[in-house]
Amino acid sequence: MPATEKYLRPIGKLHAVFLASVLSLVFATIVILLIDHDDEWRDWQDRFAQIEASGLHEELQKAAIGSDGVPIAKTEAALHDELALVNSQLAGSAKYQELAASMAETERQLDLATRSLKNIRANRDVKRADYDLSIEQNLSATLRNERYDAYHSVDNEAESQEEVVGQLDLQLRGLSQSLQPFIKRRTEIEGQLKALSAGKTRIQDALDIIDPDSIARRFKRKLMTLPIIDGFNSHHKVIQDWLPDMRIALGMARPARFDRCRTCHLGIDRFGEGNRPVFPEGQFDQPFTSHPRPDLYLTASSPHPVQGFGCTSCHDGQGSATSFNNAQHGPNDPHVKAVWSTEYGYAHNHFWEYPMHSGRLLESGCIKCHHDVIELGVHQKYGASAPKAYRGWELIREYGCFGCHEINGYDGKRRIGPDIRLEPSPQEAARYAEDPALNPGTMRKVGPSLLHISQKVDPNWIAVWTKDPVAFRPSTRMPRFFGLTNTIDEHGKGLSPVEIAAISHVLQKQSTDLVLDQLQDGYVADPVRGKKLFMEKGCLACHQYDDPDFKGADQTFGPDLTAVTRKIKKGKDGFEWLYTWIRNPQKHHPRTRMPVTFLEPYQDGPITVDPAADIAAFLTQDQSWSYAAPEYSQDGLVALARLHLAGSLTDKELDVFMSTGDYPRRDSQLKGDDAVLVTDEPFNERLLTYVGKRSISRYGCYGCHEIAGYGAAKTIGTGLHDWGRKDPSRLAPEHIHEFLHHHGQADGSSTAEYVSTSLKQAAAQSFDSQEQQQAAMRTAFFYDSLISHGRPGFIFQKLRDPRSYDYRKTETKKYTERLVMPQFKLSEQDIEAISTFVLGLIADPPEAKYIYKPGDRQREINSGEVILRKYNCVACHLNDLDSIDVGVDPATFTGTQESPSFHSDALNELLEISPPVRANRDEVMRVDGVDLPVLRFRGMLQLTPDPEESDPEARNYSLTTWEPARSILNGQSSTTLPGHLVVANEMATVRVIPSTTGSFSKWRVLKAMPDGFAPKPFETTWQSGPPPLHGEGRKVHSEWLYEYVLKPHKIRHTVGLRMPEFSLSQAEASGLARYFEARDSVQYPFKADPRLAVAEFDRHAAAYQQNHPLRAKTASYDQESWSMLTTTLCIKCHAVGGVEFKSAPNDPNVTRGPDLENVSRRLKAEWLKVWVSNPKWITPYTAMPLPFPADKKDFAPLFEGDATAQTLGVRDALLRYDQIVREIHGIAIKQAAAKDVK
Amino acid sequence: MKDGDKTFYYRGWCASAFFAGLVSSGCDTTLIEPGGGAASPAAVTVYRLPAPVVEAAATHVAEQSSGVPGEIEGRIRLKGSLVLPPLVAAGGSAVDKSVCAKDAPIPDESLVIGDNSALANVFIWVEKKPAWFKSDGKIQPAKADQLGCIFRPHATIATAGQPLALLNSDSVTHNIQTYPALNPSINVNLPPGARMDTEFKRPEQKPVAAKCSIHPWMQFWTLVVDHPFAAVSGLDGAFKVSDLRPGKYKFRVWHERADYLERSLEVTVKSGEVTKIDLEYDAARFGGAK
Repeated sequence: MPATEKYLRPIGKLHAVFLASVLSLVFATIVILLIDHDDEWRDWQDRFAQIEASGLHEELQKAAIGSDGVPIAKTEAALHDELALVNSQLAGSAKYQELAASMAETERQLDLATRSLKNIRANRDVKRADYDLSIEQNLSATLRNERYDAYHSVDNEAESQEEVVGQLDLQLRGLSQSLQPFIKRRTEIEGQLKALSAGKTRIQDALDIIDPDSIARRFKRKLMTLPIIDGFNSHHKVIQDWLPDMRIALGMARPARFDRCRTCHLGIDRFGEGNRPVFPEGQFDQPFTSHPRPDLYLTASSPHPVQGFGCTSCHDGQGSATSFNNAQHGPNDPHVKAVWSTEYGYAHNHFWEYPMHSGRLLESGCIKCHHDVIELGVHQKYGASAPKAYRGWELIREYGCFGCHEINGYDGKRRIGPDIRLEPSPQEAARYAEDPALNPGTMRKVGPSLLHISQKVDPNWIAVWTKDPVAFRPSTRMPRFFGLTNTIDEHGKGLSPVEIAAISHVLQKQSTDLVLDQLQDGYVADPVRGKKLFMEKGCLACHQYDDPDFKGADQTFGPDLTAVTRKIKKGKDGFEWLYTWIRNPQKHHPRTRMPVTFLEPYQDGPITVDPAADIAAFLTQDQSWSYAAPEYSQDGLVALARLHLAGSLTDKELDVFMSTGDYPRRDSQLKGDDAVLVTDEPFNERLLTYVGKRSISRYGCYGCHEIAGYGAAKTIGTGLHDWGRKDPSRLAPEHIHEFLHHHGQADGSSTAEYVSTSLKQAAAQSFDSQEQQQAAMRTAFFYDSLISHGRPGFIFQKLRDPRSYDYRKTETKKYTERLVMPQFKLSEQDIEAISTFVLGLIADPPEAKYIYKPGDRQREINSGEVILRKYNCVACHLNDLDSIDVGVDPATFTGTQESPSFHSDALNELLEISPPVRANRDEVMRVDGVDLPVLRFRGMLQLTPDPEESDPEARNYSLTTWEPARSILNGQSSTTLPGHLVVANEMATVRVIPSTTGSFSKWRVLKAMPDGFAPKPFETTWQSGPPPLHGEGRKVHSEWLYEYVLKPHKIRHTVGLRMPEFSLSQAEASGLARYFEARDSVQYPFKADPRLAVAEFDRHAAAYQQNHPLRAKTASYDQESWSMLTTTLCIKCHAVGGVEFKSAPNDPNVTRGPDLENVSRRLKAEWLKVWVSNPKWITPYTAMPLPFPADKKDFAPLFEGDATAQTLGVRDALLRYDQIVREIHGIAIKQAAAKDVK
Repeated sequence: MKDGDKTFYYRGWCASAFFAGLVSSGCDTTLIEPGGGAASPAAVTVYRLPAPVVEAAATHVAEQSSGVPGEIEGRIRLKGSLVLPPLVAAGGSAVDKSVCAKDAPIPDESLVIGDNSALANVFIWVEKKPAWFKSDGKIQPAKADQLGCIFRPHATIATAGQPLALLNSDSVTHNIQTYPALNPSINVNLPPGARMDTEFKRPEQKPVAAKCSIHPWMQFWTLVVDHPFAAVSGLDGAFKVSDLRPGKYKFRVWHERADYLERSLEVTVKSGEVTKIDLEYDAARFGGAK
């Protein structure tokens, strides 16, 4: 049989198979295309288009009504009618017709002539090039001349044609002018019509795209969404941000980042004029809302434009995903999670390493680029942009977490994150000094030094405190180490007291004594006066003391001193220690942040007052207490010593040692603390010392306190620099799930149960308050995270109850193996803040260009803010201003009106050194149906509505402005000068934002004002307090400030408390000096130009010669100025020019200004000019009057009463103080009498 | 209190008309009053809103009827005794000895007690301008002087918008700094014989202190109101408020050493009658023995 096709294959069957496979392939392809096409993002885009369209329709409706309330259509119809009328009139006018015709003809001619000119010019260019070539190619002279002539003739032709064009143009303009009277109205109408339809057209154009009226366009739009076709420029589009330099970590690979979030989050970057969100939260739901804070995020003018940063660089999650689930959104609590899983089938994907941060932890994303953190909490322009992460950072610094858990911000030289480490101990300092590449830590230990503890505290108190610090002082930041869940078993109960007693023993044993200050002989300290001084001298700026008189003073920088007497050694010894400490705390503890407050004895009339002694007496009044010596069992001591020694001695050796007391090893084999076991001391004491030292090492006490012998000891805890990306499988949750099932809450009840009840409540919306829900959901979130082995849950529980991870582990762990992390007294809110910060520590910084690198100025500002907070400067000094936002009527608001008393030159200087800020807030306040523009004024709030005042009209705020501000209302600009009093009725006030600094000073003022008899006015109270630092950089020379903060001297006589001397480093002092200049000075770095100063002085002197020739005959400019300074007004309040202050110098009611000798070293010349001209422009509350109003003619004959010349004269005399003194008085060196010379 | 001083505050009442007119016509819109007197660099900006006032005013109207005006008068006395030492002993001034306390001590006028424990310098005023009150628009200037390093008078009433002349009749330079809450403060020097013209544009909620920073003991108080129904008790403790239509009024009583003595003293004025109120306050409230 021949092997035909038929023989080999049954063709029919083959065809059938082929057909079937083709069909199934087609079907499969269609199915694949459909499945691929069935993306949820397309639905979201359609929904967004609907929302946008309905918004546009609304806008269209609004646009149909004109600003005068008349429908646009009506106005348009009227205009069209008028236009028709005008046109028909024009048609009937022969003159117009003639003009129009000749204009048309001229236009035609001009067009022709212009075209011709273009041709000729082109031709000329060719000829010119030909001629140029002839030179370049060195052609014969004839040829060159020929070509030149050719060029020249065309050039002539061009010129004559230009003439023609010019003529025609002129003619046309003339005609157009003649036509003007005829067509004026027509042009107007056409312009109005265009303006009317412009808004509408824009909206209509937009609508035509997303929601067209025409059926054909609708069909086309629908068609474009079909599979395959949608590949051809459909409106369904994946919107993608490609970030080649902001790489994403995917396991080991680091590809470029693609963020497609904006595919669904379509309104996220939509902002209108003044950065107003087009889709504000609250009015629109996710995913369509506009991003908050457009000044900070997404917009091109913000520091984080979406094109450069994308989304997942801050938020994390899977940016390339285009579905809700794949994007790995992070629910904010388990209730939201449950809702999501029902509505969107949400499920957490364990395999995605960095899921999106839930809202509550979002700020941890900031840390990867913002390594210095401070700018996230304090920023002049942006305010607190990440307050939670900042708070976490602050708490870690305050509570001293870094004493055990180092946060190393450097990988070698490379910066990888925030750096919070202990400063090197004296032993380590040498190593750092040798190698400049090493970056030493900068943090001081947060606890007090224990080197001289025996001199300070009651010997038995140490154990009381160590056992439970919070019981002694509820507000202490020292955590609790003993009596926690993993040490309350039998074992723990026996051994913990041994540790406490042993630690106390070692600390006392090692304590050394200092020479204490002695009171003046016979001085009797007065506790009543001490209490007064305690308040007046500023102790409450850092400390608290529970007393009705100090109500409201709740500073927590230093410890609460209410019960301090119950710890200080009893009697004279303790008193002397406290006296010494108050006078000079750095004697006892060189690294303390408590400053020297200059509480030296002074004379008050006939009596001597020693303020430090009086304050010490006030603080140690209560002596009716005593503590028993700490108790522990001998068996416990032996047992604990055995546990510790088990590493170095065998059981047999231990038995021998415990029975004989002879350490069984030779000296050369002694390890660490074992050395203390071979001394001559009694056996028991040796054991106690040994156990104490081991315990100090075990608990890491030296992480917070200076303790002898632990200078080089290492921190005991895990480093946290990369904890935020720690592999969750390396966390050890142990039996925590079980623990939380039974316990976990503060009252011992079950956290699991609490969470489950809370979730039911959340579902039923039955919480009593939002705060309650927030708190419950916080716990629920972290609980949920913990039981799914998440990092957030782990750290949260670690801070909430650190020893709970030992739950039922104690059954198999020896006492010395148990967890030692102490229990801090932190609210869950604070724990969340710390967790947010720590979770941001990923030690994986992006490309350098993304790392926050402030400019020179901002860098100085940032580091200055840290220093200001490190020493609590901002408790006394106001460093920012209060602000009030008020709706104002543009018709009547005028700003500050110029007064004839102003010196205009000085006013200009003021606006130059302190340029006006923008007062407009880009928002309106609706009052009685009228939108009033809102202005912001910044300064000092003086009056807030009296709580007892029921009359709404009398409920007012008043604020005195401290900075020039410019407002623009209805196109009119006006300036508000410092010292302008803004009185705003409560009903017109949009918001009041009090300053965040100077809380102690504010308390002082409030305390002084309503208290007692004859309340002191606001102004005088502020005059007697620390000065606000607003504008300090404009005011003082930074060189002076540097010296002043290191070694402050008395400047203000009206101020009751003196600027103390802190243990600042030179770097910190110059940092502060640079901070103020960077913040306030227009020019940075500021350097005065001496040539300008001399030129200015010469100008003033010349003007004096010219304007006051009669005076100039008798006195030089210097002499005249000097007389002005030292004989007229200034001497009423200042000591100057050798003239002593006359009024009672010790009377607190006397207004005595600063002495004026060294003014030129301290104050900048420009500032001084403004100050002398009008002190209120600088410090509105100042006691200094307006000295020489421009419209007065006082103090003649000096400068013949010319107030402006007088003002400048006084300023110049202050600046040239030393020269003038030399000039006028000369220098006389006292000749030593002959008998002294021998 | 000297006779001349009484004339001063009496003039203040007459002058109130101006401001009353200003307020009644101007408080329905945001009212902005530019400040800036001759030597005052500061301006005041006032934002006021209309709405809730209507209701409050209505209750006032309901309680006060038209009819023959009545008046209230009374005396204020101190219960207990309190004697303050002079501020500056004769010849004991540290500054400007030739003028200040040259022959006689400067008394502490923060508490002036007359015969029979009569308490002077107590302010008493109708808490809020009655809705029916309309000013006649007449306004006369007032003055405050400094003589012998003492402000004269020590306590006075000014009407908002009333021109106030500050004088210095001494032969030494003085200074005046005011401490208002709702008006711009002034701080000026007055050389011998100088005069400074100023005004309080807005009513204040409490009397305003003014001091001289060169002579720290010098102080006086001014109550700024927008109606004439205010008085200061004289050396005999007596005060009088006239021309009140019949009805209920809330008065405030205030003294510089005690702050509010009464925040809301209700008094009913009867048609054409004189209502007597005698008030007595414990010395402890003024810093006396507690």
